[in-house]
Amino acid sequence: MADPAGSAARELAGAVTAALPGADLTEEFDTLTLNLTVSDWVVAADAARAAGAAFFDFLTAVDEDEQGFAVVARLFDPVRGAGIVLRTLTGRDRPEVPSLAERYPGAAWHERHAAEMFGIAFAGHPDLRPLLLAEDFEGHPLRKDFRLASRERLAWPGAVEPGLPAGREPRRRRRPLGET
Amino acid sequence: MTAGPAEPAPSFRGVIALIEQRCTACMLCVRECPDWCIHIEGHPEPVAGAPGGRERTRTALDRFAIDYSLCMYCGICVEVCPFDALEWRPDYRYAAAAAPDLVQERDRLEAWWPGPEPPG
Repeated sequence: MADPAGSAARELAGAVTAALPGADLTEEFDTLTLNLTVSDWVVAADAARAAGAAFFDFLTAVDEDEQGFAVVARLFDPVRGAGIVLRTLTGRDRPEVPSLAERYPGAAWHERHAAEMFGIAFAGHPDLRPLLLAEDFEGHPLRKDFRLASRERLAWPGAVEPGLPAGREPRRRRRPLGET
Repeated sequence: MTAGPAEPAPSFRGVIALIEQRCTACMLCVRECPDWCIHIEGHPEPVAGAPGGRERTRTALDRFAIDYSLCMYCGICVEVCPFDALEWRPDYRYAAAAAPDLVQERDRLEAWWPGPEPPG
């Protein structure tokens, strides 16, 4: 998905970091990622836009457990043929990030989706209603602590120990994947 | 429009077959399945060991079922089986009118495997 972090990508990244001295630029999997504070989120997007990143690729979020929620967006410069990934971290308790929808109309649906799935508020979004979930849906499904209703009812088939004689308890407690 | 091939390629992930002789009821497929759609029941059975040796057991398989109404055909169970007791087969004709009829028990799962049966 990402174009290799060649000279065009570095040029674009350079233009953005020029507006944010001391910015944390990392390179992973041939992609340049700018790690930002929430207060620098819009500054960085504006700098990328000014440098030519006119195309809004995507915005999503990641549940980073104790660290909070990461919000990740990719902006793309169609002339240079290079993109840059912006990443910020917001707290678990009242996750909020400024909206990019006024600047990039394409961001509006991505932010609605991140809002319904993770419970993140996008300040300044013109219409933050759910994108895909039903109106009466409760909870934020992509949070790691969200349990599927079907898992509440269904016993985990992996708790069985067929090799153990009846009456013997297993030596260690097993848990389904993903559960602590 | 040109018609495609009448049957899918042999590698097509149509259904998961059980080769029961290879299964040791180790429970790895059950535990790794992301959808919790595999169900195994078994019990320990004594096995003759060397004369004068300690009592040995093997795990006999009582039940092996896959709920195809939940299966997402990811293949994790096939990959994780250390004994290659689960294999993909290209058969796909097992639609049912009701979801419970998509639970395939041992005999159906074994029938997908064309054989020959492995020795032992």
